[in-house]
Amino acid sequence: MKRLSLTVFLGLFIFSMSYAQELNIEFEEYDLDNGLHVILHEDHSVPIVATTVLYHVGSKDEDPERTGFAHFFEHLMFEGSENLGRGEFDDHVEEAGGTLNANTSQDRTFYYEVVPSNQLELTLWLESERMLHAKIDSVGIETQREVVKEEKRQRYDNQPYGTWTLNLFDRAYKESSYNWSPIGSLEHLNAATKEEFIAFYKKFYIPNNAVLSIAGDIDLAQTKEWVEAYFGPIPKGKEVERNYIIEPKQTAEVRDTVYDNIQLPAVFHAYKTPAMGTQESYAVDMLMQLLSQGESSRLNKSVRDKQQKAIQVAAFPFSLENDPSISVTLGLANFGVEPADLEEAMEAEYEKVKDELISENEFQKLRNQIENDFFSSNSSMAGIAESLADYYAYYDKNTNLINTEIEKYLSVTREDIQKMAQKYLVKENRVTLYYLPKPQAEQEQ
Amino acid sequence: MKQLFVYIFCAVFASSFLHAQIDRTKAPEAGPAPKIQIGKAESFTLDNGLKVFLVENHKLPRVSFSLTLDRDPLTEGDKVGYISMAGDLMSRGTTTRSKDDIDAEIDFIGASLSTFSTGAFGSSLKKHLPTMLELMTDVLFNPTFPEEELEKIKTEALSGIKGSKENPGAIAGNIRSIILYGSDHPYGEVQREEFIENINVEDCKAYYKTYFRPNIAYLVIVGDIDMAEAKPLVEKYFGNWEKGNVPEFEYETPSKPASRKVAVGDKTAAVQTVLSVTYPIELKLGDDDYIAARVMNQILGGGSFNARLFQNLREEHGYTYGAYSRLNQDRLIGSISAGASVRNEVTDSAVTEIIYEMERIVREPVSEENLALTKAVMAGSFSRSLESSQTVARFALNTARYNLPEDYYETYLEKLDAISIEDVQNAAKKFITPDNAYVVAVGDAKLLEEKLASFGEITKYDYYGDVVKEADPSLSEGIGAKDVIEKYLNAVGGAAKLAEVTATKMIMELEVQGQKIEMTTTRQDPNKFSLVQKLPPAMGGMEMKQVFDGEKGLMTSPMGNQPFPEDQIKEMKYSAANFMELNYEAKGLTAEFNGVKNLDGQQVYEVTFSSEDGFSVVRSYNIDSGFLVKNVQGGQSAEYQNYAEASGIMFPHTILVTTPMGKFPANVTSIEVNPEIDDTIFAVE
Repeated sequence: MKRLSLTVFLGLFIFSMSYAQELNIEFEEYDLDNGLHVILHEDHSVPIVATTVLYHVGSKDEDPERTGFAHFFEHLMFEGSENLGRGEFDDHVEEAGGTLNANTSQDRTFYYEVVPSNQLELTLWLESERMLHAKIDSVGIETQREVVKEEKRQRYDNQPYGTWTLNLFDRAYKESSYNWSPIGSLEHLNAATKEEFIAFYKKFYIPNNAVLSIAGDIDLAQTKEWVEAYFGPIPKGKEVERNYIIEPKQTAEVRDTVYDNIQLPAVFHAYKTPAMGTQESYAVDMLMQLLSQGESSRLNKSVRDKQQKAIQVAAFPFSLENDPSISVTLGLANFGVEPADLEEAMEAEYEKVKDELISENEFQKLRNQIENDFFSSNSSMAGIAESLADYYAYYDKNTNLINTEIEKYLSVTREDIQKMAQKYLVKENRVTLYYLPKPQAEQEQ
Repeated sequence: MKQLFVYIFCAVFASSFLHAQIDRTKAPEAGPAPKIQIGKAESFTLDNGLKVFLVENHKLPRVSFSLTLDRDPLTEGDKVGYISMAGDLMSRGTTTRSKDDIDAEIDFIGASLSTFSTGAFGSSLKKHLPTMLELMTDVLFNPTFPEEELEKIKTEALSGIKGSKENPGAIAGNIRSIILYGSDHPYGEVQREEFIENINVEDCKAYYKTYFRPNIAYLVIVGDIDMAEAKPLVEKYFGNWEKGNVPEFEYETPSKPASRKVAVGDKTAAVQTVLSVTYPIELKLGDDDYIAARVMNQILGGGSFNARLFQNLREEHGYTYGAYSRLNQDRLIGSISAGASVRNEVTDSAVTEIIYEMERIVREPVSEENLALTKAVMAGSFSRSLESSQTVARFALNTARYNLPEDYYETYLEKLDAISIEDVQNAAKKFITPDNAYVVAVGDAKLLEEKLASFGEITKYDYYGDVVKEADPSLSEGIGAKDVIEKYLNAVGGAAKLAEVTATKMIMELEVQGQKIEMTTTRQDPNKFSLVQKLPPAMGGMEMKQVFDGEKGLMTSPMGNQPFPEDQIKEMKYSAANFMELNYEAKGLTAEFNGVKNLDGQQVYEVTFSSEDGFSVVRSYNIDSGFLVKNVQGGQSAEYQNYAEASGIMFPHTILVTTPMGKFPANVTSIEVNPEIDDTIFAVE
C-alpha cells in the first residue's frame, strides 16, 4: 500500500541504472536563492510528468537514541500542512489521476508524484507545502506510530528472512550509524516528543538540503516560474552538519545464527566494500554481477543449477554513500542441504575468481550485460527524475553521470575484478549469517 | 524591436505577477487536459497463420518478441502440472544446445529469454536481435525435453507443495479452485504429490507437438524496429513453423451456489483468518457492462485508499492491514472475490462488514463525488500505463483475442467518462450477490466453525480441497469427560501403575530439513520440567534449554537467557506433570467433553481441561484405543503416534510437532521411568 514501502534494496536499484555514452538525457539544473537544487528534464512523448523531491537525510543521519526518525518522517509528511488537512495530500493526487509514494534509505528520503502533465502545478504546490510548513501534531504522530508498527510487523517480523538486512547491518557496523536500519527502533519512536520531531524537520527538511527533480511533458519556462513561485519563498535553513563516524576496519570474521519462521536455511555473506562512486566500487559491482547475474553466472550455474545446493542465490552491492559500503552474497538452501555445505559451495566460487583470471569471453559477457541494463533503465519519467536527483546528491553534484557512468564500468579490467575478489572477498572482511528454521520445543505431553 | 520589448516586459511582468498571485490556501487549477494518444500497432499474418503485431518505439535501442498461444484451457487429470513443466522444459535443451549453452549464449548478449506453457518471451538490444531470435526460435522449434531437467523441475514442484501446506493463502487458493469450478474443470484442478510423480517427458512432448502451432499464435514485437525490417525477420525465423490441427474444448459453465455456503480450511496455530467472499461470474473484456463493472469494483474494493472495504475494515474497524475485492474477467468463466486477512477474533465481524458493503453497493446509488473520484483514479492509471509500449502491445493483442472493436482502447476514456451512477448500480445488481456466494475461511477451524455457523452451511476442506469426513455424533452418546479420561488411563497402564511414576526421562530426535536435533525431556512430579535441545554441528552445534522448577522457568540459548513469561509459568504448572489426566481434579483442573471429532480420518474424543486461573488445553483421544493423540495449547499443537510399552506403560514413540513452518516428526529413542535424577537440572538461575 501507499507509502509503506521502505526501499531496502535501494542500492541495488541504483546500481542497475547504469548508462552509456550514446544515450543523451538532456537536463537543466540550477539553484534557487534559498539553495534548493532544481533539475528539469523535458520529454513530450507521453503527457505525464514526474515530480520528485529528495531530502538528503537517511537513517545514518539520525541520533543513535532516536533511530527510525527519517523513515518516520516519510510517513508523517503525508499528514498534511497548514493548508492541507489530514488525508488531503493523497486525495488531491488521486483526484488528479495521479499516483504518489515515498521511500527511505540509509542515505536519503525520497518523495514522488506522477500526474497527467496539466497537473504539474498541483504537485509543486503539494511538495512546497511539505517543505514550507508540514503539519507535525500529536494526532499525526500517534497515527503514524501505529502504522509504522504494523509496517514493521508486516515487512520484517512476519516475513520469512525479513530481518536479514537488520541483522547484517547490526553486525557489520559497530561504530558508525549504518549500524541501524531505516525502520529503526519502535521504542525510540515511542519515547520521542513532539518537540524532537519538530527539531528534526527544521534541521533536515530545508531547501538547501533538498533536490527537486522534474521529468516529463513540461514547458521549461513555465515550470521555472512555478518552481520559483512555490519554492522561492521557503526560507533557507542552517547548513546541515554531518558528523559521520568512520567505521573502523574489520579484522575478524563475524559469524552468527538467526532462528526464523522459515522452511529452508539460508546463508548470507556481507563483505565490506568501497562506497558508491569510487573507482573500485565499479569493479566490485562487476564482481557481484559475475557471481549472480543471469543463469550462466557463477553461483547460479554451479551452486544452484549443477550442484542443486540452493534454490536461489544472489550477489549484489548495497551501495552506500559513505565508506565502507557492503556487498552481499546469499544462498537459500535446497531441501535437505546443510547450510555449511551450501556455504562451502559458495566459497569455492569466490576462491575460483581469486585464483583464475576470468576469460575474455566471460568478461565480454559482463560488459554486454552492462550495456543492456543501461539501455533498459531510464525508460520511465519517474526513473529519470530519480536518477538525476541521486547523481546530484550522491556523486558530488555530478548529475551528468546519468549519461556517462557506463564509461566507468567499461574502464574496469579483468585484472581489476580479480583484484577486488582477492582484496575484499576474504573472511576477516565479512559478516556471515545463517538463517535456520526455528525448532519449536515440545513443552508438554 | 518594439514588439520584442513588449514580450520581455510581459514575461517579466507575468513572472512577478505569478509570484504574487499564488494562493497557498487551495489547490491550483489544472490546465487543459492533455490529449492522450495511444501508439498504433501494425499487423500482418504469415501463410502459416501466425498473426504478428508491431509497436514501434525508437526511444531506446531495444526490441522484444513475445509469443502467445491462444488455445482453450485444458484439464490435466492425474498429471496436474505437466503443461507448465512442458513450457519450462523447452528452454532447457535443444537438438544442438544444452541448457548450459542456452544460458551462456543468452547471457553473453545481455538478453533475456523464457518459455512457458502458452508462449515465449525474448528481449535484447537491437544489435543483438539476430542472435536472440536464433536462440528463441531454437528453443521454440527444436526442444528435446531432457529427462534430467524434468527431474529437477519435479523436485522443485514437490518442495513447493511441501512448503505451501502450512501456507493459509495456498490452502484457501486450492479450496477456492475446487468449490468455484469443480475438480473436473480446467480452473478447478489442484496439484498433488502423486500427480507430479505421474508426469513424464512424453506428456510434455505431446503437449508441445499439439499446441505449439502458428495458427493459434500471436507474435507481438515491440521496440526499435520498423515494419520494413521486422517482416523479413519474422518470415525468416517463423515462416517455416508448421501449422497443425489444434483441438478445441468446451466446458460446462460453473454456477453460483443457490444459497450462501461456508468453506472452512484448517491452519493449525493460525493467528489470522484468510477470508474471502467469492463466486464465479460471467464477465469478459469487451462485454457491454465490463467498464461499469470495473468502476463498481473499484468503488467497492479496488486498490485505492478510498475504496469502501479498505475504509470500513481497516480504517474504521482496524480488523486488518488491507481489504480488497477483485473482479476477474475471463472468456471461459470469471470470478469475484472480496476479502482480507483478519485477526482470529474478528472473523465473524469481518464477514458481516464485507457482506454489508456488498449489499450496500447494490442497494444504494453511489454518490456523484465518489463516482467522479473513481473515474479520475482509473483514467489516471490508464493514462500512466501508456508510458510503456508493452501496454500498447497488450491492447493490440486483447483487441484481436477478444474481438474488440478497433477503437476500443482509443475510446476507452470516453466510455469510462460516460459511466453513470445508474450504470454502476446496474453492474452491482448483476454481479454482486452475497447471498449466492461462498465464504472461504482458512484459519483455526474450531473457532471458524463456531464463528461462521450463522453465515451458511459449513463444509470443511483439507489442503487439497477435499472434503474432510465428519465425525459420527452418535458415537458420543452417553459418554462424558470422566469416561474418556478413565479409558485413556487404563489404556496406557492403569491409574495405579501410573501413580507409581514420579519421574520420566525421554530422548527424542526431531528432524527438521534433514537436520537431526536431539531433545531430552525430564519430568519430575508434581511439575518440574527440563528440556535440552542439541543442534547438530551443521546448525551451529549449540545447546538450548528450558527449565521449570515448579514456580519459575528459564529459557537458555546462545542468543541469551529469557525468564518464562507469566502465561507460560501458568501453563507449565499444569502441564509439566507426567500424566496430566491423573487426579486432574485434585490439581485444580476441570474437564469438559466436546464430543466426537474427526482428526485426519480417525474418530477422536475431544476434552478441554481448564483451570480457574485461566489455563486451558484441548486433548483428543482415539475412540478405539483410548490413547491421547493430540494436544493443542496456546496456538501450538502436537500429535502422538506409535504407542509402545516402556516399563509397563504405553508411551507414544513419534510426536508430530507443529510449528509455523510445518509439522515435524520427533522420534523417541529412549524412555526411562523413575530414573535417578540430579535435582539441580531443574534449577532456575
